Amino acid sequence: MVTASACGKVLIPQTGYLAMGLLYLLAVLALSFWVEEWTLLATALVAGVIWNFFFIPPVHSFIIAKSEDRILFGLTVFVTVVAGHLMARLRKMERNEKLSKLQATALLHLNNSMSAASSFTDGLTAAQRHIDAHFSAETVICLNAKDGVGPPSIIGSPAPNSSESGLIDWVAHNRRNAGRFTDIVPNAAAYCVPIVSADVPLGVLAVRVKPHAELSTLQRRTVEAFASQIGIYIERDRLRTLREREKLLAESDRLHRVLFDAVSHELMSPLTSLSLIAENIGDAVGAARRSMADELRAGTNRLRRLVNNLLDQARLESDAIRPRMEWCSVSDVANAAIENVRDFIEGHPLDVRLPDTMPLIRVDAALMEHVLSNLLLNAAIHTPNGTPISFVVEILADSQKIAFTIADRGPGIPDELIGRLFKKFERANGAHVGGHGLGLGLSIVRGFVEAQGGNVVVNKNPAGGAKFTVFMPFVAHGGIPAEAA
Amino acid sequence: MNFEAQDVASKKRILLVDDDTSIRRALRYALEVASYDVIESGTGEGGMAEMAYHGPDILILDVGLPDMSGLDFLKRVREWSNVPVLVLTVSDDDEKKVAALDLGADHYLTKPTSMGELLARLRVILRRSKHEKDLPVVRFGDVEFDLERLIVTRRGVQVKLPAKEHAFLRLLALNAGKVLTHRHILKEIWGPDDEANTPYLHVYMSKLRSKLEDDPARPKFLKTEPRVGFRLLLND
Repeated sequence: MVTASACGKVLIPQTGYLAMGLLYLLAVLALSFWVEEWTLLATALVAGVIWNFFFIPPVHSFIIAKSEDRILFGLTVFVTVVAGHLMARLRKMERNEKLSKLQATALLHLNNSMSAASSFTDGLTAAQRHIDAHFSAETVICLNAKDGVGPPSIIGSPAPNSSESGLIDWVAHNRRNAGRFTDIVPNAAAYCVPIVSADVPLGVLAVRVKPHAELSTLQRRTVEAFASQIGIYIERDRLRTLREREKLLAESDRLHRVLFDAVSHELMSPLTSLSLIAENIGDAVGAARRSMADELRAGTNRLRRLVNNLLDQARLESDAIRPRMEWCSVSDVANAAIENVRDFIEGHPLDVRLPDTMPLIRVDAALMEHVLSNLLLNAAIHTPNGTPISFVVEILADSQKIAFTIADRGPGIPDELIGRLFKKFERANGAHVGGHGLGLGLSIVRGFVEAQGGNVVVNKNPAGGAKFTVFMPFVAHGGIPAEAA
Repeated sequence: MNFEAQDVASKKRILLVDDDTSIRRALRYALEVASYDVIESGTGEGGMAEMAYHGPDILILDVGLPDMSGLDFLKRVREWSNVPVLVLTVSDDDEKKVAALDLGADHYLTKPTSMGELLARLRVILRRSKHEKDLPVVRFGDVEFDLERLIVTRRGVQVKLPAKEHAFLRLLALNAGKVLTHRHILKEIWGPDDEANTPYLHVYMSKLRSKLEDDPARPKFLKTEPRVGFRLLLND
């Protein structure tokens, strides 16, 4: 204003006092770049007054002498006001468009960073950081706990304090905006927006701008847009999880059907032979009777092993395996396993080597016994009678592991089968003892070993045959306090 | 089957409490062949009545009874009787085994069990009850443990054992044939507060085996009952 007047004073002698009007017009138009509508209007009017008072004769009075001057004055002021107003509106529209574009770009970037993330929580963290950067704020995303029980999970920092948590809870329940810039708890530091998708409340987005910063209406709309994007993202992840679970169920269904068929078959054959014997044993005498009794015993043992295998597999599948780890003597575990299968490996010379130090290891004794028994049994079943089986336990001091190796001298395992060996229902042709057992034994072995934190591998026995090794972590037990003899 | 001359006249009486009829039938058959007198009951209350009426020499008890838990039955019996008890458990139930032993059972067997094992246990039980008053010399392998003078010899040569190992061996010998739970052993030898130190027992067991067994890695007499405890087997 002052500048304009100063210019005017200088120029008057050349142009005459009417040109001042145009100068003021120019000044007002220039101002429209920075000033709001109504301020501009006021400025225009003030300019008019100054022009009248200081420049239109008679100078220093509000009266305008000549009538053409009065008309010109009125028209110019009118044009200035209108032009200024229009310019201001134009500027405002331009600015709004720019902000809208910014918001759209921000949403796009938010979406991109969420999609690019490698995990669900990474995506949410990326979103939170993005919002932080966009508003120069501290944002926190609070996700409702699954099933609605328990505290919400928080992404971002600092974590909400107790009053903020209360506010966030309220927003989550009532699904309305609250906090700063709203009329609900306006003195809170955060602007809280509910995250909802398909009418399901998923959480709350809380944006804490700097204490003196403001969020314009457009920016608040942006926050809401962000919240809704995040809601879509969360929903998508939930659907994906559901889809995967369905796939698993379908696969599990299929396996159950296979299992059912296999079980029926496998249980029926020994049962058939047992019932035949049971029918005839009443009439048999002497040696025939004794041999039937032996068959009965062998058959029931086989059945029992089968049933136990099935139960173990069921336990493994239902994740009911919770190993009870305790310190056990290696030789106890090994000997128990050997005792369990003594009758079945009768035809095979067994060479056992255990470490002299008789160390203690931390395992689940029942599971470990089971594992070793299964491996010994396998060795016996898949090799011809009379072939030796070796059972070696040694501590690998350098790798802090203990290795249980069961090796046989049978036909070995064909290369193409080695990879699939531990899968359920995979069976090598147990041509030597009727190939029974449902092929569950090895998958049980692996399940039990891994449940205790170990691993099992199969190799060729360099001397011919197969070699199974179970590796368990070995940490020397601290020992016992010394005492006088 | 070795019965001393005087026992032939008085058959030992066994009370069999199990809710499974076919198991009871099979066991009765085998026990009678082995010259035992068998009374049976399919329920806990019925069993208590039979206990009171007949006063059997041995009780064979199934843990799963229809009207009360086998362990409760055992607890009630132990309130007024010291009759030797052999408990039948399902194979993987270690907690029940330990609980049964802690409640006063003398032995346990897991179902399905072989008759040979059952009869052998019964013999052990009867031999113990005969010898309760004496402190004999206990023999396993080539080791002799004189429980009165507390001297351990192997092939005639005395073996000196450190205090804890000696106490451990003595406890096992006094209960020869019976499974002693980890907790029981720890309580007896270390005191009631040290019940968590099960690994100690394994270490001491290894030491005893290395001194007294021919093949310490494959012990024949100083036996581990997996997850339950330890037991000393004697020369039969």
